[in-house]
Amino acid sequence: MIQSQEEREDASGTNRGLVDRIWDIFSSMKLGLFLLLLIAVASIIGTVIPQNGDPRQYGSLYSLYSALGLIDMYHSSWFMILLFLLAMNLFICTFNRAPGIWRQFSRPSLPTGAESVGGLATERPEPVDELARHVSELWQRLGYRVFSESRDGKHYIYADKGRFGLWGSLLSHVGMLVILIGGVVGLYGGEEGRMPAEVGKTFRFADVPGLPKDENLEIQVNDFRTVFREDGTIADWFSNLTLLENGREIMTKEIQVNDPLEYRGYKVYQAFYGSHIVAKITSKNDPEGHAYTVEEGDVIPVAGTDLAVLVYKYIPDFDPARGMISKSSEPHNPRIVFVVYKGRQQIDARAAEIGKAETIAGGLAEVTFPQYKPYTGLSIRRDPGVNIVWFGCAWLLIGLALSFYIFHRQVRAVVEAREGGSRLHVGGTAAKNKIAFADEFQRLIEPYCHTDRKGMEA
Amino acid sequence: MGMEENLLFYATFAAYGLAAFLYICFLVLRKPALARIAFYVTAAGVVVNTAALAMRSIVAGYVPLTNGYEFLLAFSWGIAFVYLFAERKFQVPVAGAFVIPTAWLLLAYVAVDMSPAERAARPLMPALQSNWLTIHVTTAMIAYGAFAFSFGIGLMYLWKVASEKSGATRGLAAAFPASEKLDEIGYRLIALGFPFLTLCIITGAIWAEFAWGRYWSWDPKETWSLITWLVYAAYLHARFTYGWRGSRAAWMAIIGFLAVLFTYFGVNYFLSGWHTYASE
Repeated sequence: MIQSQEEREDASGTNRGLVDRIWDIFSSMKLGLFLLLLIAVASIIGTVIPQNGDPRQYGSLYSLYSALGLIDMYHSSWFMILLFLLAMNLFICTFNRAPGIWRQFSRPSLPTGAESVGGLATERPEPVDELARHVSELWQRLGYRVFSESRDGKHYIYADKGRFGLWGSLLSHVGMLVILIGGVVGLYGGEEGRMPAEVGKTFRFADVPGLPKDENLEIQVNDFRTVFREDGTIADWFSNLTLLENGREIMTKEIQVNDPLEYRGYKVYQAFYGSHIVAKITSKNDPEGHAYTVEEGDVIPVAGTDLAVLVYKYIPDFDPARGMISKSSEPHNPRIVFVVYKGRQQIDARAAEIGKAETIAGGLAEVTFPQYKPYTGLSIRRDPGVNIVWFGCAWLLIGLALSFYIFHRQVRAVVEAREGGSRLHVGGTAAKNKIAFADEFQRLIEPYCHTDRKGMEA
Repeated sequence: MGMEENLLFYATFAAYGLAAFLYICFLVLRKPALARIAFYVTAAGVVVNTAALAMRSIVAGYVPLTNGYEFLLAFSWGIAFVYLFAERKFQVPVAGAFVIPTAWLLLAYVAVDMSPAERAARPLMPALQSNWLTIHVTTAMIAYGAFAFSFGIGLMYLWKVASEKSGATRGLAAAFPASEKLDEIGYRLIALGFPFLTLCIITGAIWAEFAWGRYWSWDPKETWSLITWLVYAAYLHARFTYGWRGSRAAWMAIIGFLAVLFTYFGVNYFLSGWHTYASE
């Protein structure tokens, strides 16, 4: 990193302007570290303060939170700026480091002298050339890549192993950068809409809020089923959909959760479900009655009385023995369970047949459910950034694997002539995994450390 | 929950408890035989723990990682499993006194605080019926296991350094490995866990994309997994750039694991509590 900075200064002369200074700030790891921690702290705040909540739940703090961008923090401009700064930092760090890594990867520098090697020095009986050859061969055999050069009667040797690990951090940073870019592309280039659609209905994408107005795709809902388990819990939802483009049929697919329909970058998800229930209520004071379209869980007050009807639940295959748990997923005996309240007190609960009037509260009123129309809740999205994000994730993982599972270690040696033999200076360094490298280094220099041992291996 | 399942759970709980007790005895008495027995008891615990997980997956018919009970059983498995390998690799049996109690405490939480209904196998909600779930949680187990170990090592480091500073040549910490070695082991464990945590987050994102069409939605659990990731990322950067080793690294390892625990417990118990409170 230092080398590449020097190079750049050489190229631009001594004129260090504002751009250079900004460049330097952004290339610093200090900023990177600071940003990482700042984003972490901001994210903690974002999980403590409820996001996108109802204004009432923040009480008197609402205007303060809102002004600070804490209500929808992850989309606020200051959070975006933090992410942008992080991206700049990643980009410039990567840019700065790449040449140095490439140099070290392709043609590393040989030791310049015995002092630069450090480590240990040992006397050997062999002549310089023989010892240097032996060292090179041994290290090569141990899987090292060896560079050597002979100058002024001395041998300079550089050897390293695991050099692909050098690229690890760079690749993971590129991966992070690509993920951030993918996120931004999705944020600004993506669309999203939600649509409740009854069986038999056809709707145009253009009519779904959030989707482009000029989109000529249509969805026809052929079927929608909720599949229950024995114990009454929901196993899955299925929607049978036909996709049309300019009125022409493109495909028909049965979607379920975790298995969306995909076409032209759009994905249609099984996201939610519900039903439109028509309830007609007549009472002594309102003999004509009123029809309401409601959903499960809604409460209808009975006009002119203190009665109210809670439309509780639709049961497709009602069996009194099983109560609220449907006997099957098929509508063999569909019923709508409703609860009658007088004031706040529950006075009755029944399972009404579709279309059959139920007299309640001793004849004070009458409830009929003429229609039950289930709808499938579809979520339609197009996110042009998502593949960019996956691409970035792949780079990130490759980078991390290189970085943490392949570690680069290097050894340097200088062999010089001594009376009656030679002197070997050898030192090794590893940025990571130092304990393991210490053992490995012993193996690298083992034959040369014990002069009392019988000669060297052939 | 069936009787066999219960039996396996309590056998695992007992094995880790016994192993933790033996390791702590080893820490105090420094009899190597204690550490050896503790190692085999831990190994037996992992076997029963694996059986408990296998039994649950047979009973439930899915990978057993969907409710608090199952996840804690998997979490303790991850800790003990990673521990067995790392102890052999780094030759630090005394670390067992710090790591195995963590696995045991997680199960103690289940034993004390979870009703049988909470422990029971429940059918999966539709969104959880995905193969990505398996890989998502398997990677989490390994990452969390490694982080739990680095947490134990961090505690040992701080203790060791404090006792060295006070000039004590005897005492419990004297038997610990050299502080530099502890520091390096702590780093190696985080270096093992970090890529797995990354993979865990990414597979979670892929799964979310299939289920909801949104690979990232900033919900508290997701956000806390990101916070954990950021803490460990900061640890790695500070270590390489500023040479933050020793006490500062040990503290970051401790904070990192607290973030892991918070991602699991805090988000469920503290943050959801706040949400309910706020909406009422």
